[in-house]
Amino acid sequence: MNITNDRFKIVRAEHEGRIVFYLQGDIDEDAVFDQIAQESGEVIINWKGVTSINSCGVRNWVNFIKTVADRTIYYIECPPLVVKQMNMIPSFLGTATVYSVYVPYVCDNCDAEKLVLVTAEKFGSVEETIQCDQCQSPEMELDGHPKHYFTFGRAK
Amino acid sequence: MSAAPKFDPNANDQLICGLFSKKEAAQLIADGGTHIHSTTEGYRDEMARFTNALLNEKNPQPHPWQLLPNCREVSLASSGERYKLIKRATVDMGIFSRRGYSEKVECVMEELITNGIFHAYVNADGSNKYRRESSVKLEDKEALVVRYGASQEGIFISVEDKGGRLTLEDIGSAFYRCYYNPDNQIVDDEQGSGLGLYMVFDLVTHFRVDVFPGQRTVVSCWIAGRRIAHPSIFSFNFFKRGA
Repeated sequence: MNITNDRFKIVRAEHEGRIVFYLQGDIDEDAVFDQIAQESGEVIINWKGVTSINSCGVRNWVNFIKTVADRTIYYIECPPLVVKQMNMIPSFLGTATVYSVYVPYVCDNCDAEKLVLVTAEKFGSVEETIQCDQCQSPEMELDGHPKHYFTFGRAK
Repeated sequence: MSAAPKFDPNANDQLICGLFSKKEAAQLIADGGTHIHSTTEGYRDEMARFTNALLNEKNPQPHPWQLLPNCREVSLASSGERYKLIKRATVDMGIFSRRGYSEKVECVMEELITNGIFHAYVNADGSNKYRRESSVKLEDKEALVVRYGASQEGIFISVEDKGGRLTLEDIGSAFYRCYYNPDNQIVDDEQGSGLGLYMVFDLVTHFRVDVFPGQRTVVSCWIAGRRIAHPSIFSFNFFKRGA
């Protein structure tokens, strides 16, 4: 079952026997998350498809996440815009455990961008520079400071 | 990081220069600070000197980063139209395909616009005229003016409403709550908690508010390019005119 509005939808899917909710689109004043609460057991939220979150959307999400605080919650595939929210607004994370995030890199030479998926065990040891796939420069830098990017981990 | 200087709330329009975090700046703003520059140059900093000069003028001019002569200006009277406007702005500024930069710009524009739409206009009893859950159509005389422009060094964005309601106290209390009381960042009321302004301040390099009480508010921001930006280099300026 999918719940949609014009700009946001939640897709429920089974993945290796576990229920995953894929959030997709813009989380704003119209976003509702009731569908997630209807499911029993653990809650796995895949954030990859979220394209923006405004402060009204943050408020909606924080108020929602409080209602499922007694459940085991995992955030997976969090893109940088979600990581920024977790860093700026600790209650955005609530009681959830972050399983994986995308780390953004920008090439100093050709401005190419790349997102690298990193799982929790490597949050403290991400590469600060990697090789650029486009121009082969070794100076593709993490877009931001690694300590700042993983602030949410310290907040737990 | 040096300790933030103590602000004297009895001195009006006091320029504060130092090297501090935005969290420390939030404390200064909550204490009534109106002109705060975090810089390695201290009072010799170009922007700080510019602010100092503005403080002696009755009608403060734009800071050099405001790019007013060569920016685009768009009128916006509908909350539903903002998504199109924001996307168009990122295309106009040539950053649409640069994910990191465009996400930051989109967030800043979104928050400034929604703040203007949902919180600039009030009913006779002081409650917000427009609810956040609904698709809002402003009256013609209430339309926002959105300005944006880009240079090699960064992006300029400003949003002007015709309410003129934003106060330093609103900003200071919101920033203080969001930086110092993270468990209480989300206030469950309809009046607006200032979360959006906090998000903007946290993202941008220069943040300036010009309030003409009861007439209009202009919130202007500068987002320095990635190679130039540094978390400790920023400014906050609040000008209240006609007071």
